[in-house]
Amino acid sequence: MKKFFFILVFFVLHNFSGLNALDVKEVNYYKDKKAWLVNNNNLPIVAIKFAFKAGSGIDFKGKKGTANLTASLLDEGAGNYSAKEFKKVLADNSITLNFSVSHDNFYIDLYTLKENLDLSFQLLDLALTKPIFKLEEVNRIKGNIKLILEESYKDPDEIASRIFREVLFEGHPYKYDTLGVLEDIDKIEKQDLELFLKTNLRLDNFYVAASGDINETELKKYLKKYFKKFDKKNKITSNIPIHKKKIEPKIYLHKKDLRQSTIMFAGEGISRNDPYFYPAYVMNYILGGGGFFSKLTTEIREKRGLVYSVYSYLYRYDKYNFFSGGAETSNENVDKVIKIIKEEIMKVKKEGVSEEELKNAKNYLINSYVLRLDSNKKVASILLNTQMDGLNTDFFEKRNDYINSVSLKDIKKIASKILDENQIFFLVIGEPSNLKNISKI
Amino acid sequence: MRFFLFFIIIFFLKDAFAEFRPQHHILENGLEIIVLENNRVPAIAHSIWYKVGSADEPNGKSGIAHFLEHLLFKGTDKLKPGEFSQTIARNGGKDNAFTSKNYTGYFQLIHKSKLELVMSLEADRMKNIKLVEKEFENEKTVVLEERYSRVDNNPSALLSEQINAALYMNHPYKRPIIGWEHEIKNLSLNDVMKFYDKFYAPNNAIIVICGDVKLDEVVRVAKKYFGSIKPSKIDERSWTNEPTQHAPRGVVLKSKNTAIPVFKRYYLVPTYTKSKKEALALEVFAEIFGNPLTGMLFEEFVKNKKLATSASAYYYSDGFGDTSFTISIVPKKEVTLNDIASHLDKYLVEIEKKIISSDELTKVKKRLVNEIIFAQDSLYMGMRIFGSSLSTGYSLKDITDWPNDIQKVSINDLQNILLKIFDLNKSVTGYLIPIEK
Repeated sequence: MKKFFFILVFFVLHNFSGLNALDVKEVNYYKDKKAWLVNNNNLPIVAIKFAFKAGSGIDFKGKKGTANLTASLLDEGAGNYSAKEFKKVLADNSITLNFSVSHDNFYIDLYTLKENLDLSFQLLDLALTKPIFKLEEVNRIKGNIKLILEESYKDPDEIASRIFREVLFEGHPYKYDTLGVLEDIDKIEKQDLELFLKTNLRLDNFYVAASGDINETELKKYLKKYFKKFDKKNKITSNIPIHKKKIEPKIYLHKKDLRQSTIMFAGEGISRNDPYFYPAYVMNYILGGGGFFSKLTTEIREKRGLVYSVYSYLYRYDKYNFFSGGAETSNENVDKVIKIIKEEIMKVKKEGVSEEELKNAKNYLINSYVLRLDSNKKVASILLNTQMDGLNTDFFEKRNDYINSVSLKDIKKIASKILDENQIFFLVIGEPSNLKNISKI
Repeated sequence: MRFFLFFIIIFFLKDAFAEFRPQHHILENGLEIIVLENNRVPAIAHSIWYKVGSADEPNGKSGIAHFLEHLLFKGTDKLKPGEFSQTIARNGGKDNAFTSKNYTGYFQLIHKSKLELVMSLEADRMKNIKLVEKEFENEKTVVLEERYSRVDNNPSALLSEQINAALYMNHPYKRPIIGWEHEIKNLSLNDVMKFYDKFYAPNNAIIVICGDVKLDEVVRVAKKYFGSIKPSKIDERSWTNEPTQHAPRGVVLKSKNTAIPVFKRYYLVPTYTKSKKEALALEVFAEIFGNPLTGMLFEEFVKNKKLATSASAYYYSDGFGDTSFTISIVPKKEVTLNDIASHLDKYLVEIEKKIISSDELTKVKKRLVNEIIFAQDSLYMGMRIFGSSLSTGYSLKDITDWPNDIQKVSINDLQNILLKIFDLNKSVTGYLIPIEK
């Protein structure tokens, strides 16, 4: 009994004010360009994340896959290094240097020991400015990409995400895989890759965030030395259109002989700049974002044992925001699971959430933020994303207040806007029994 | 693993340390405590590791260790089902758990001021879980759905499961961690509670904390909550050994659910606990031979002979008895899996003569040792390395000596081990073949 009492005492909570205050410095390295930095010398490690606003969304028609192919080839030989030598010098010096693309961005991740920072920047510079694009390597990487794209017609999860994109982004470039289109890969030529770099590696769409054993002077020195050359005169603007999609409340079924069906759903989302962004964020945590005891997990997993995982999230692309989620369940339970997801969504829409749910959500979202800041990699990511969201470095001081100020009324208001069963579609991959009113796809 | 299952332990886990300065204490009831101080943020990764996993399950009861892991979240005398994680979350923490062949681990990431909370909760569920039939049956379907997601709907996981069952002829490692479907279905509440009572005790557990906390404080709080829990009689772990294996085995899985053919070859090789010297040599060799970007296999199959789109090899040194050295190759379109097999067998002949110079060896060892520094760049990783190593037979000294031990591996050590490991009679070859509908 004594112990029980003790546990209860712990339930009384205090918030750790100032907990998240990251000491973020803005490093002005060239003209008006600023990088974000958290200097931490606990370990002799530096993590730097770079991004150019240029992703697969700007791939030309007939050349879908150019952005990703370019990113995939930058470490396959550059300057005087062959592909083999380039990979080996990275590995022997414990340097991680990755290039990747999303639909909106071109990312570079650098993770290195402090002692190899010079070498890291030299190699990064060679990759960006003197990639070889040797035919042999180009064809090899194209082969790998085509194989993965073929998988999106056979692997259940890959099929699900391909069809999900095709439905949600119909008529918009976001509907293609970031890897591109199978038939286009072989049509992409060396000059397409070079054109991609020439057009898109430019300082006016460039972002940098660093964390670790590097100070302002050092960061400034490296960035100026290696990135000032990307300052280009003619400005360009993204040609990705805003995606406007009226979602039809259908249940799409892609029939496949599987033990368990995959279910995905999506509806309208919310912009990062919307005044109701935080209410939406907290609402999603309560509904399906919060792991073990979100409403969806409680109802579908804990009470009924129908799934291993069920979740929802808010997702943001530059030109489209959506609310989405999913679950996996045995074929005979698909109709039940869809029904409960709809019910839970509509309950939040009609009734909002309870005072206790809101309090618990705030406690978690505020007090757990520190857990995202325990490594240089994570800090660099958060700095980059925050910067790219158009926020200021004081965000880290203000974030807790934003969350704290969310009210029950706010949540009800945003729920009535986002959560609408007439604007949410479901997609099922599998062989569900008893599922009615379906559109085959 | 409640939310994510590690079928495979990330291969470099074993390869991290030097700068880690673990502090150690044992309570009177046998509970071991390890503290790794890390002051970057005012938080801790708190974990408890029970030295019990799927290899300790009674015959015919596969999946019991993993199932039990789920049930530890289903309430105690004091907590309602789900209340454990709710309490952690309300206090700004994240929690989860995982099961492997040799251990079951539970962890919380949370603000350092909550040390007492997490320790009191873990102490409570070490002995006091309370289950009702309904909760039990409900969670059983959750575990079955987990199996369908991770294994039955995933051809590559299904292939690995089949290969593993063939690789071990007599050792319990042949069983999948998550369990066979028919045996999971037949587990009873009584089976699970018997297993719990037998293995969950302070003298069969290790607490590992990485974060902004001092050993003294941890010991004080641990005594308060765990101190009164009586130790149990725990038999020394022993398992049936593999017999001499006399014939190569093969497994062919045809699947409609993939477009990518895969060649796999598993060899039975010693674990670290069985042969430290050989295990260290294998760790170095796996990096030289199997690194997916720079390894010898990649060079031979992908670059030189142009037979494959990828080629890599891994070695898992964890465990007791024998473990696997795994080769994975994805052939190019026009190349068959048989072509891959026959070229591999040719290539492995006299492989000991093809390995690198001592200069190259030095570089590779440095790569491995550097991982120690990167592994300290998060609270979770340190906790994971120490917890998994200590519960699979490594001593604390083994872990902290690891960088020096790796540095001592010589070309001669590599050649000696290479004369032994690629024995086809101790291997299973697996093919994953895509088929149309």
